[in-house]
Parts: sequence; structure tokens; C-alpha cells
Amino acid sequence: MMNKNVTKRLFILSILSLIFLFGCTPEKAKTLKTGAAVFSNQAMLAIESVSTAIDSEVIVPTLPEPGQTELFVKNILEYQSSPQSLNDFNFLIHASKPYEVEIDSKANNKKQQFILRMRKNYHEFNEMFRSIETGSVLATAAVGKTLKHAQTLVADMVAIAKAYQTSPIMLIGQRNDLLSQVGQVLSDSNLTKVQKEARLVILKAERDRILKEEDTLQRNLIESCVKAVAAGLEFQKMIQGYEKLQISDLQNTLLRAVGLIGSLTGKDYSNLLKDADVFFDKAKNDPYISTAVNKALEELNSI
Amino acid sequence: MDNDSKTLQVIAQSITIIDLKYRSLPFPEQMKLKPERDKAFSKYVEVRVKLLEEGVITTDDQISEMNEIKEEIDEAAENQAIIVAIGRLIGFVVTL
Repeated sequence: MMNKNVTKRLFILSILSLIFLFGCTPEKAKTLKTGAAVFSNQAMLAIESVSTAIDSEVIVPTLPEPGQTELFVKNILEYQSSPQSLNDFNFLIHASKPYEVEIDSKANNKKQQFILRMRKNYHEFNEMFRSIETGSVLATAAVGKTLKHAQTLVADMVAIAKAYQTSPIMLIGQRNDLLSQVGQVLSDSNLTKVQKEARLVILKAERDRILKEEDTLQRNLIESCVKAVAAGLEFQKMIQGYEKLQISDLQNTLLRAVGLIGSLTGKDYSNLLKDADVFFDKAKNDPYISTAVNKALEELNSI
Repeated sequence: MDNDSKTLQVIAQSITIIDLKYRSLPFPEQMKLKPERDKAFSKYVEVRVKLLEEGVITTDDQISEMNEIKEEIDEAAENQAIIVAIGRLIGFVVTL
């Protein structure tokens, strides 16, 4: 009778232990899932910055009204012959916006494919952890397999930042527009010296605005890449320690990642570049990081 | 600086030369030069994207691997949910 009671209690205890074991690890899994989302979201912001930068470089500012209408009238009057076919309608379209740039479908497709591929990479990475909370114990082995992918995705963010450090964003369309305006002022024989000086003062302000916009785009892009690298490095530690670390250790790592992201905001560009170097060096020397990061950095450093 | 970075700079220089020439022409002449001028801008976008692509090392094969890991984690989640449910049921029955 006594033995039966002991057996029953031991059985109940083992069942309760099982439930407890499966019950406490979801917190760890939830922390891991949040870490993946932080990394993925930060990388997505960096990709959006890249997309914006590519478009911005070749955009030419559109002339505001009534300038467009005046240009339309002037340009059409320059045409000596009357329209002959439907194709001539293109001239009517371009007459008010002749400086607008039309990027061909080949270049547009290449850009779109690259952006979509990058978004997909980070989306799929985040998706891996969608049901990790429910499988917090049995999926432990699978969590270890995600490390390799986190490493290459961090390396990709490093590579993008390095590519823009080597070839910074240049608003070619806007720069050309300004150069053309300066040329017009200098060559206009109807303007007096005083009038030319007044026009150039206005164009100097325009130059400052272009340089500021370039600086903002460049800073935002590098900043978002560096934040993604910082979040990715911390997340790799979470993957590595998932099995052994306590919930508090994982939460501290997550908080550190979020803290690093916050601390990188609002700094000037030179400080940001110093931060970037720190994180890129960290990526290179981090024992958890595969040779993939080193390979990417070696390739970029050989430039 | 690698070849693509230099190419990007050379294209940028060419764009400015073509674009300033384009802007100085009368409108009918601009329309003749427009395809060539826009082509130069398109080439710049292509080389910029190529520069970025060259640094990216995550492959399409990895996307397949990530999908496999996701399925593994999903399956583990289903199995764990079943085990927990059975455990609770047994626990409830035994305590009766």
C-alpha cells in the first residue's frame, strides 16, 4: 500500500517536472524570438535606406508650376514641324519636364530583384523562429542550426555599409541640375554683375541643401546597417547560449542589443563611422562568427 | 578601390558631361539625345546594384535551409504541445 503511494507520488512529481520544464523555457524562447525580430527589423530598415538611396541618386528635381507650363510653351515653339504621328505625343509629355530621368526596365528590374532578395533573406530568417515558444525544448537542436545563417546575414549588412563607405551616395541628378543653373548664370549676358552675384548666392544655398541631403541619406544608411550588425552580433550570442544560459542572461543580451541600437541614434557622421569600425572589427574578431564575415571583409578591404 | 567602384565614378563623370550638354541644347535636339542620356543614368543604377550584390554572401540555398529549419521548429512545437497536453491529462487522471 505504502509502495503504491510512493510510486504514485513519484509519477505525479515527474509529470509536474515535465510540465515545469516545458513551462519555463518558453520565456527563453520568447526572448530569442524577440532578438530575431529586432535583428530582422533593423536589417529591413537598412534595406529600405538602400532602396531610397539608389532612387535618389538619379532623380532630377521637377520644376514647379508655373515654370513647367512656361517651359512647355517655349519647347513646343522650338519645334518647327507640326506633329505627324502618335509618337509625337511623347514630345508633349517631355516638353514640360525634359530633365526628368527615365531609368530603363533592365536597370529597374536589377534594383527591384536585389531589394526583394534582401528583404526575403531577413524575412525568412525571422520566420524560422515563429513557433519557437511552443517548441521551446524540442526545437533546441534546430536553434543551433540557425547560427550559420545569422552569421552570413550580419556579414551582408557589413558588406553593404562598406560598399557605401567606398562609394558614398551622390545625388547626381540634383548636382547636374545645379551645375546647369550655375552655367546659365555665368553665360547670361543680359544679367548685370550684381544680378549674377544675387543669383549665385541663391545657388550657394541650393548647393548646401544638396550636400546636406547627401549627408543625411549616407548617415541614415550607414547607421541602419551598423544597428543591424550590432543587433545581429548580440543575437548570435543568444543562439549560442540558448541551451545553457539562464533566462536572465538571454534577456540581458537582448536588452544590450536594444540599448546599442538606441545609443547609435543622433550622432554625427564621424562618430558613427568610428562606431561602425568598432562593430565591423567586433564582427571580424567575434569567435562566434564564421569565416564568412572575414571573407567579406577581406574582399572589401582589398579594394 | 575595385574596378566596379572606379566604373561607378567614371559613369558619374560621363553622366554629368552628357547631361550638361543635353541641357544646353534646344528641345528638339534634347529629344534626340534623351535615350543616350537616360541610358547613362540607367547604367549607373546597374553598376551601383552590382557593387552591392558582390558583397552579399547569403545564398538562395540558405533560404531553402532556413525553410527546412523552420519546418523542424514547427514540428517540434506541435510535438511539444501534444506531450504537454498528454502530461496534463495523465497528471489530472493520476491525482483523482
